[in-house]
Amino acid sequence: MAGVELFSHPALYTRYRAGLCSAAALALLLITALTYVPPLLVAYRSHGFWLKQSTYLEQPTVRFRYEVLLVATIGPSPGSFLAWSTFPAFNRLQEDRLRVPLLATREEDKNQDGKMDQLHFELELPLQPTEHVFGIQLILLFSYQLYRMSTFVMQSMAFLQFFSPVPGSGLYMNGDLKLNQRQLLNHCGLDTRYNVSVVNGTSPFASDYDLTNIIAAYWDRNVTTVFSDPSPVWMTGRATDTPFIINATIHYPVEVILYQPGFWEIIKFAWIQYVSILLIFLWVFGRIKMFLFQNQVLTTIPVSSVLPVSPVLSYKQHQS
Amino acid sequence: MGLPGLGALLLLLLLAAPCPGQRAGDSVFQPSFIHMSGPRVNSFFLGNSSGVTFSVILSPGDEETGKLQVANCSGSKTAGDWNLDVTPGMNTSKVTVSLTRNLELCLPNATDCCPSPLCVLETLQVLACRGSVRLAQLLIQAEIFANSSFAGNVSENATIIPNQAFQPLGSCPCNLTAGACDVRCCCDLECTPDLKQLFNGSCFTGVFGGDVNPPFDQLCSSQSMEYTPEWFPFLCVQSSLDNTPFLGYFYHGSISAPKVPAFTIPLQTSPGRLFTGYRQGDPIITEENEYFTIPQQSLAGQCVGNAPVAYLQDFDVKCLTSLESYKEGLPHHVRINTGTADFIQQNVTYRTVTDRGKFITESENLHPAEVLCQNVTFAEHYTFICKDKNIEQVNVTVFLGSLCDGEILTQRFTVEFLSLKSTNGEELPENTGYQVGKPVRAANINASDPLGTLNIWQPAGRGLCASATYTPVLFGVDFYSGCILEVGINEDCSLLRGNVTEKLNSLIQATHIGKRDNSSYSDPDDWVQIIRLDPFNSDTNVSTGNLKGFCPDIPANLNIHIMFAEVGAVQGIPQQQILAVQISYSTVLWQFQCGLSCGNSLSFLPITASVQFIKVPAQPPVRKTRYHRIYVEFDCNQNDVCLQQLFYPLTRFYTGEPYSQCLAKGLLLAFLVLLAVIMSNPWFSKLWNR
Repeated sequence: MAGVELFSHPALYTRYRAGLCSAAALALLLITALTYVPPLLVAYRSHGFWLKQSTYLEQPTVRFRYEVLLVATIGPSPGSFLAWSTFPAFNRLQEDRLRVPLLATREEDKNQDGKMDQLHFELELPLQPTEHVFGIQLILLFSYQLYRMSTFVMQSMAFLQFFSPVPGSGLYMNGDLKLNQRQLLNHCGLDTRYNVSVVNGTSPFASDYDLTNIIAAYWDRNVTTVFSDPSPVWMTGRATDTPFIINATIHYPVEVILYQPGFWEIIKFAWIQYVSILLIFLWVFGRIKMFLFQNQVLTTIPVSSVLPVSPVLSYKQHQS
Repeated sequence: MGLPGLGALLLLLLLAAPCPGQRAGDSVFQPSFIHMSGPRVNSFFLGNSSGVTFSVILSPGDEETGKLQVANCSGSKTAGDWNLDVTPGMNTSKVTVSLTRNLELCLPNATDCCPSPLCVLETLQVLACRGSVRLAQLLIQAEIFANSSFAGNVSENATIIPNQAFQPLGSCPCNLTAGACDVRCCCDLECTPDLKQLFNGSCFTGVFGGDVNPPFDQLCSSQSMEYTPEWFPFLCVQSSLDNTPFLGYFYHGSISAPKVPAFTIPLQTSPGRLFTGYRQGDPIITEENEYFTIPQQSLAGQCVGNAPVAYLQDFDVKCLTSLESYKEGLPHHVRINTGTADFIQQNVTYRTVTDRGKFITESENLHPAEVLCQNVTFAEHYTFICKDKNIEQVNVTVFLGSLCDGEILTQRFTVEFLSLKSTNGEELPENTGYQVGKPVRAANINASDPLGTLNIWQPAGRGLCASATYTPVLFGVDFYSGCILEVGINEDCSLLRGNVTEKLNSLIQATHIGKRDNSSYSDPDDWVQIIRLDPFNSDTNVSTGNLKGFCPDIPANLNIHIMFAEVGAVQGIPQQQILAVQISYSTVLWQFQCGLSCGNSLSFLPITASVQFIKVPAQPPVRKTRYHRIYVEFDCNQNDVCLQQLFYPLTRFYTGEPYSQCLAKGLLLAFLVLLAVIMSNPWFSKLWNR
């Protein structure tokens, strides 16, 4: 034997003809259907055919809105609390419970990529020597934006709360402002349904500054941010003439965002899966077709292109 | 005595004799130097003032050396604009020097005023002379500024710094000198037209000359002949020079300042004038255009004293206060705006609190006799009677009582809005079904007084049944509560059963329950009868006999099952109706619990009541065969690969894009596939080659 056969191209190119309504044509239709439909069913039934959700990473553009609401509890007796906020109507309600603190804030972009990475927030609350702080409830408001897929703009809040049975000199908190999603975001378009202020700062009514109402309305939203700090530090030992210091560092980390893919993305991934199974079926049914036609299981008139077509001589294929 | 004696006497005389220029008594001005910055100053002359003349002299002082001229006693009590007043006294006299001119800052071309802010800069000497001998002198350095008064409004307008992307902050970069004209700078506003004409031909050009927005080549009105293509003005840009390609941002059409967040507390707006009536949620306004305030709860349960009241928002708050932190609220004589710019007086009824113990908790033990007490408000109940958008009447009931030091008072404030039936003909279609949270209607149909109640216990204090009150059963809310009954060891079992049954039956003072919220007493079809499953009657079966402290079959737990269903909807709101109510009892075995010895002590039997709402489907569901229950091919909730989602992006299950868009994209795909099929057909290739 000289060499190995690598490829064979049929020298005789045979075409098989039959009527449009013949058994062969119908069988061919059935085989075509069996070639193209089962891959879809096989791919679908093995789960994951349609991509119903996906993820992407983005660091959100977070800016502190310079809106603060502070409540400091200074004792167990009724009315022993101090409050302050950047909302004038709230401050007016507090009357002599109002204590204006010293605020020092700075937003820092550590990697110089144009997006802020953390907020340094320091608040000094002046106290009389007889006042002792037992607990702090602090609301900070942010504007939160995502751009990579859908343009998602919302106003969100970080709620910092800590209570202690012993009076303190300061509270140190360090944590991330994490995104909390209850539903998938869109893959494109503008989403500003939560671009409403968390605290209605223009309302004069006391019930609009009730923390339970604020939090209930905030958690009705499907996309929120949460300040997560697993280890707040309550510092004790306040000197009589020093203020109570709240020192918070809030990081804006890179988030994993779940979104619902668009139409073309779904079709693309489905197509990949479909075609890879279709190839197998094409090969299998191609072989079956070759067998069926070459061995005349289906009655057809074979027409060979090499020999001249003679109406007299009909060239019958040798049946094996 | 000889020479030493004479010398001693002389020494004595010398010592006793006053210094030259000073008389006995040592007259002096106290203080003797004053730096004057106002129009009047006082000093005191110490010493005998009889025969003493006072005079004031303006001393200009030597220009070169700065030394003052020595004044003589020939002055008078007036010098220039200065006046001297002396109030004589015994050993001290008060001396007042005052300025008599106008200290207003001058307007141009005005007289009798101060031309510059530093009005008076003079040196005065006040001399006290007896005859022509100078006794004492007072030196006054006067440096008086003109009076400045602020007239006009404080403007809250901040200077808007334009966004640098559209308008450079320095629109005229060559304007370097303030207050003077910069040569060759034609955009300098300080240059008068005459000056500008001098250098008009050689102005600075370009951006430095103030041309921050040069016309660009694509502008239709551009006259530049340098690079105009042949097709110009085809595709030229027609725009004003506010928007040019030299700017970096998209031009919104307005020059806006960049919104950089900062700690700015905005202006407080006072409540506006009301002419058109109150809408729901509007704050109630008083006569002085201020908010009508009542203490309310805010923040984390703390109370704020003066919080505005919203129209048609009822509330009931309890605020804690003590004598130190007690504050009076808004006085009751304040008149309230009715909504039509008319004012009504509050109708106040004062009462004294009878049950003080309900409001007061003592925090410290003090001697009651010596403690400070004050008459304070314990509770206020406001009822606003309103009609449409106006308030017709305000009725207030104020409970007063005395609060002593060391006690904590729970104040209670309630506000209720009642509406009169309006004569407006429009009748909104009523939602007749029950709503979650509304009390269940109950009635005694066949009794004279049809009103009935369905309650469960609201335990209070220690939780004993004797002190428990009732709370009505609310629709849609499952309740559970109970109380504790004290039972003695010698209690008779049948008596105990009767007692417990009676207590439980006191919760249900009705025979029928209303199907809907607006069931009327006259229509018996609106009511369902309460089905009672009475407890197991123990008279027939006495099992244990006479064992003390042991009673079986006590019906201590009451179960109320209320079956309801959704029957239709009105305006999209589903109507819920009660279909049936069943009351049943479950029994417990009560045994007296005692330790080693059972004396005459009491045991405790808890009695409970529970309400359960069961939703029944309005139509009975289609019975499913077992096969259908297992075969979840078509149930997309239980099957991830249900057949309805075979073509997922083209179905309603996919919500990532609008359905119309998905359909359009699917049809496009189908068209492409069809095209591919046709073109790969040999018949088509034959047609193409022909």
